[in-house]
Amino acid sequence: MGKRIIRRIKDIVFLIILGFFISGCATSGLQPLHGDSVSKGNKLTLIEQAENEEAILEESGFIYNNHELEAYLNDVVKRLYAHTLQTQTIPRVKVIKDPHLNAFVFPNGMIYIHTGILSRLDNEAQLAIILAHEMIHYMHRHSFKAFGGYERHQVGQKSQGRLKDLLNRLGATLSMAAMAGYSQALETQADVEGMALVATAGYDPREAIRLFGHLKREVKTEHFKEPLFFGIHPRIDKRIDNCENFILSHPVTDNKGLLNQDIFLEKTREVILVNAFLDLKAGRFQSARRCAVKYLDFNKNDARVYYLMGEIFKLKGGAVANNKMIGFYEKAIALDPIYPEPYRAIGLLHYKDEKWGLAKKAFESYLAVSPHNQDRAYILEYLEKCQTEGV
Amino acid sequence: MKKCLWFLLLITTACTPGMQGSGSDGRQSVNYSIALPDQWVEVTSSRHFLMTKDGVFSQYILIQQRHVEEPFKHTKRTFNRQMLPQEAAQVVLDEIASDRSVMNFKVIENKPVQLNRYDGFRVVFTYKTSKGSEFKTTYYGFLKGDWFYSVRYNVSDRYDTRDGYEDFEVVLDSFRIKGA
Repeated sequence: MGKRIIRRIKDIVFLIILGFFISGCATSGLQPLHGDSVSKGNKLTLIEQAENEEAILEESGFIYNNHELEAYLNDVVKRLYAHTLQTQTIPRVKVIKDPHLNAFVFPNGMIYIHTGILSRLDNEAQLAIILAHEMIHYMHRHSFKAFGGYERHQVGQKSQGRLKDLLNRLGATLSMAAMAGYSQALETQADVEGMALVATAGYDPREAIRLFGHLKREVKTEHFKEPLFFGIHPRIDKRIDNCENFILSHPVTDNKGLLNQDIFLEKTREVILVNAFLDLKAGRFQSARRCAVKYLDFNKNDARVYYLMGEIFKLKGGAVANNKMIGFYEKAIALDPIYPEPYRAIGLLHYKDEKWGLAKKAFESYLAVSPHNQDRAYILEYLEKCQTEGV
Repeated sequence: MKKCLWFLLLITTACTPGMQGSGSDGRQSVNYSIALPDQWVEVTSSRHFLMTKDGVFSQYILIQQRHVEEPFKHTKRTFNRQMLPQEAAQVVLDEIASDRSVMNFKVIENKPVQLNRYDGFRVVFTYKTSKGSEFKTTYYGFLKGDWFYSVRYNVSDRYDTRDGYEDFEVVLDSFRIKGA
């Protein structure tokens, strides 16, 4: 009994130490490729845990299912991977519906990239920079290094089963660790070697500076405090330094390298709009607007983006005249008369202004184009009131 | 030990999806009253009112009072005093959908209701935790003045019985805002 309690206390102490380790304390130098400090049994445990968490994510409703986009992202990974000497399983990529600026990799090579960061990128070179960074984490088995500390903590004990117990108790620790990033030394290694990989694969590594620069501006203006791909380990300024140092020490020739902007924007266009709606729901109105404007640049005839603009102004509040919002909603209706949401939005604005006739007309149109929507009961109630008050 | 850790998790994040207990900023003064059904026990009432019959992992009823200007944890959005019940429901649903501990989130029902005399909403949704446990929540909410009130019944799919809903209805019927 006493031993069990001591063991649990040791686990908790280890968790605290692991937390510090993962969240930024420096490690002792870079280890050679494939070198790691976790036993074979615990590697299998980590891989098994990664596969479990991958299965959970797959069923979670968070995955953005777009096969064409996924195929494109995986092609970029293959292009990068072809320039390595690796014999490990080739990493795979999936997209998560999440407006936060993040990307992470599991120990089994599964890379997840958030719609948030994907929608901020300008071209394939910038995408390659992010993917290469995650690939380096995977290829150098950084997760094994991080969790290797557990074995050292368990010297003299049967650690294999214990790591499994620990991971089970922690639940999502593996993904949380991967999302939060690794120590500063490991992140720097991923930056520098990732840039080298990008350059070797023919992309322009200088895009990293542009990418980090505008992400930095966004982080600043939006006061983001969430774990970010670029924001935590090390801080974004250090990441920019890493890239600048790399570029200084690897001057590019006249051939600036690939950007592949057109194909990138074609493949990721829908993500920009999807993420703008996610930003809107999350109350990140400036980000939502920025994504909407970016989307409008190459798709001026999509009703959804005008509805989105109206919603941004509406939810943001402030002194925006209803006419401006209604203008966006009407533009959406003009482009797509069977798109229901703008009718409801117009109805709600008039309803609150007690313009019962106009509200009634809009709500009736909404029900006409979308008779079975889940909010039908609300609309019927509004119509009843419009009828009563409008007499 | 394990149960303690789980319970801490429950109170802080996972099993009260989307909502933080309010009142930490000192503006809160709980001004509602409710009845505790037979065999239910109050678990905590410091930041919110939580009661259960067979343990919080089986079922619980949670009553919260939140200032309209208090931002939500995951979306940072707030209510406003002019919101219609449908708009308030959307703020709540967006918050829950933004919580990464809430998986397979599905809204089954969303409609206007009156909770006693107050115009509000009723949403029913299901979700899973990362451990695969499945829950169903029936959530009532309404805005009154500076406050948003919510009363919810959360039940594991393994304990989803008629009795629990009958007890929840007792709580709903007894809900009163003091001085109103």
